[in-house]
Amino acid sequence: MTPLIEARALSKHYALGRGWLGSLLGIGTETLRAVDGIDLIMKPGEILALVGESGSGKTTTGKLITRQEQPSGGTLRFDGSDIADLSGAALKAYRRRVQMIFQNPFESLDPRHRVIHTVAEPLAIHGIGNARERRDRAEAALARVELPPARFAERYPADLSGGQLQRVSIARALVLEPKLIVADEPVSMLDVSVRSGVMNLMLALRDRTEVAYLYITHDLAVARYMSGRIAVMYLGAIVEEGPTEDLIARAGHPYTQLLVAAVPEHRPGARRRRIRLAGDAASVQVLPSGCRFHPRCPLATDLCKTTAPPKVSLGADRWSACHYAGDVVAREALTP
Amino acid sequence: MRQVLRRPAIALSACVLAFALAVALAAPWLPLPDPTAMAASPYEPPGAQHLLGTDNFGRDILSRLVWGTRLALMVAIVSSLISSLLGIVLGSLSGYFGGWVDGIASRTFDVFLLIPTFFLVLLIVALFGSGIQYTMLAIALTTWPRSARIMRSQVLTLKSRVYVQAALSAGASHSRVLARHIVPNGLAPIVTDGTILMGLAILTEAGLSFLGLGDQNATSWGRMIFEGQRHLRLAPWMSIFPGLALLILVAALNLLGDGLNQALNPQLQRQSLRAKRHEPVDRVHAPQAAVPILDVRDLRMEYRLEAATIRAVDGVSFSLSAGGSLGIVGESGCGKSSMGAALLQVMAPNAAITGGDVAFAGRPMLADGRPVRIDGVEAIRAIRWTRLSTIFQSAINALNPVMNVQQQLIEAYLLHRPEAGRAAALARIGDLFDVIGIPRRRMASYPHELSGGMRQRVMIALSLLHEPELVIADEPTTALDVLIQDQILGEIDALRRRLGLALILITHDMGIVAESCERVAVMYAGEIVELAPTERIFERPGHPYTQALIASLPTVSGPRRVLSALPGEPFVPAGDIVGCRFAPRCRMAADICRSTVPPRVKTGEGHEVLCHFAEAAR
Repeated sequence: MTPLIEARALSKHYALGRGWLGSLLGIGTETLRAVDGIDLIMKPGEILALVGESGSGKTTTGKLITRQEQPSGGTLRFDGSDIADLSGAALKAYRRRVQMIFQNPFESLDPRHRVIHTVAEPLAIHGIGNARERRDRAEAALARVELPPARFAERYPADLSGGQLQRVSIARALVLEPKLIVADEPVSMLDVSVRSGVMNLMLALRDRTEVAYLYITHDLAVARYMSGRIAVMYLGAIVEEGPTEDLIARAGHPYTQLLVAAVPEHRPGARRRRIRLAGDAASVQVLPSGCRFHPRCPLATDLCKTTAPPKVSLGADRWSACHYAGDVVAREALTP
Repeated sequence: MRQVLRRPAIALSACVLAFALAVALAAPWLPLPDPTAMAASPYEPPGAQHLLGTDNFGRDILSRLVWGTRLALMVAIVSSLISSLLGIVLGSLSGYFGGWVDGIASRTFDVFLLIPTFFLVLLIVALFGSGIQYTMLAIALTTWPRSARIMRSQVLTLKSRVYVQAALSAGASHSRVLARHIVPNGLAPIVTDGTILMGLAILTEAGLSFLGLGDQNATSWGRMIFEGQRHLRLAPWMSIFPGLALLILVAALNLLGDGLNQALNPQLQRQSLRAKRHEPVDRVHAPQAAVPILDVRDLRMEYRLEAATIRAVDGVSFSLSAGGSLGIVGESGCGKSSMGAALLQVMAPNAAITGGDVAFAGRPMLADGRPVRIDGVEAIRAIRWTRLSTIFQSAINALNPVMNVQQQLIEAYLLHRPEAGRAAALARIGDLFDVIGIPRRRMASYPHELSGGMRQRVMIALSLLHEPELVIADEPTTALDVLIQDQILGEIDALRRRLGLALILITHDMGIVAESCERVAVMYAGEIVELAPTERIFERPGHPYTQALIASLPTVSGPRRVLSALPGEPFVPAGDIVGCRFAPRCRMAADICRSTVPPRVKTGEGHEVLCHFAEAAR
């Protein structure tokens, strides 16, 4: 089966200027390696969670796949065809098939447009149907996200709650019947009590429409609930990948273990130990030598400081970029 | 639109302008003599024949005034329209595309701003002769960079809005995005400025005519004043009436501009409402032994909005022992942050405490809703930040971006301890940085040089400056990643144990309080609906709302279960409230819930639940 998304050695580098003096004197520019050669494969209809902290490159990866950004290296294929260099009409045609849901529902809808207008806009952009048909399809999309059109179609974003706004965003993303939706932290700005409703809705929509999600989040608990497979990103690279339950239960990378351990435990009787980290996340501006996680890693050795780790296989569909992946899985100290 | 017209300033100026416009449009049909006909005798004072008198050529002043209105409004509308249109188009292109487009456009704005209107008119008159169309063109050409600059800055902020990104990623073209999403959202200040521009245009035209540079054949107010001033002694009405007309029209336009600015700018609008607050009440302090650090009884606080009065905190009672920790949990709008603000007595202008008693370590802070004054000083002032401090939600907004964090901390320290001196302040801050885990070499960093987690640690340091006994932390980790959140919560927890602090942690996430607090209060629609020891509330939640909050939390351990979602929208506590506030969303609601206010039921040691079915709910 042709993968829906196939990225090989995909990267996005930004040139950071050194200011006018630097450019005047001809001093070279620094490079920010936001995404640094990642491989990513998604099957049609699957939900892949891309997990990492701010600055890990997960949002940039989403922007590369939706082609809001142009890759600086590697290959990127969608449904078998190269999309890395699309432009003009071909890019516009691609945008019909891949949609995006943004993090902040309070900013992602035009405050001057009625809900129905916002949902119908992608249809108008692509010249689909006449005004009447577009309205019908937008109303159907609103009904699918459980916002009865009779009550919501003519309202403005200011009248809606965060959860309702995010449902409108989902309706807008669905109206073109895309193959893939890239959802960048779609629930992190919402109250916890509202999150579960939006997540359940997204899952139900996937079952009905066979749309695939690339679900970007920093919260492993959310990733576990939403996805079948997880890729963990750190400083522009994917450090571990595997089926969700297995990856969380038997994390093969110390960073994944940290992420698992950071989720607060609220089940009665359950206890966890807090791990004290050595400082905040490093910056992609100055990538560490060897393994990029070694400055914060509780298990780092001299080997980690000098040599970049290979992908170590941990069974079917599972690997971890850690010299000691096997030991890490066996070690249970971090996740009691 | 109706709301806009309800503002007196706008209504008044709109009336004046509508009248002027009607008069100007109807001028040819009004029973007035020809404004250029020298029919009557010159210098006739105002009277029955000529209401406003006649001028030195015997022309009727009223008629000339009316025809002058026509000219004034035409100049105002045409030149401000050309000016705004030019400004909108060039300003948005320059802001949207940036780069060299912006470079060239911005320099062009600057060049045009430097040209004085009068100079340009002189030039045009010299080249083409005088004519009203040249005057209008000159006014437009010298004023458009104003609108362009406004539009450019509007577009610069608007183009990074997520809904613009959303439209682009849906495949929309640049022209569509500009026309549908950016320009309409950026127009408000241009409209406001446009009305002020209209006033300016009228004045400029009048000034040019006064100098004899305007259209010699047109009937213009400026020309009337110009001619009148030579005969000021003999016939003052010649210049007084056009002068008055000019004054009224320009004032109306400026008033309209101001009013529109108020109406279209939600920030200015919100500040217009102010709640009436109680005067402080004087008390003598009598110290007591062994009292809770904070005791709150029946606290009430309201927001006054135009449509209604919201009872954001509606009868909240709890008490917190020294060194204890209490989590306050609820959805957005449940009143949890308002309650934090009310405890500190730091509130928005449209908020007021309307009832309740608060005591801090036995000292009254609030008595029957009135601030308490001890020895002439408001009691809360004596403890705020020194004994009772707060960790704000958004560190980036709470820190001053142009001062480094060390300076800010020193200033905050010396504010309450001016006698301590900079050296002592610096030493204290150094110690605090060790405590919160930021290397001392980062002390002199500016807020933007620190990561989100670091900034939040600085906020914690700020709250701990004076070794407070109680810290109120309002969503201290909301904008942070899970890893950093865990670090910050761990930090707060460790500090609390080490320094013997009491903590109130306000959050929407039940998961966060689970490990950080000894007791949890769940708030809904201004009330505490459940209060219990933390372990107990997770084991045996008594209120259906608490149960829903817990059931909506995803986990990384244990079996994966389907999360339940809470249907409906939060209840807004305003007006008369019948029955239980949670009933419309409650899975257990019965008839009694919709008709009768639920009792506060004690279901165990330190466990109270506001529910008719407190015992049954499980």
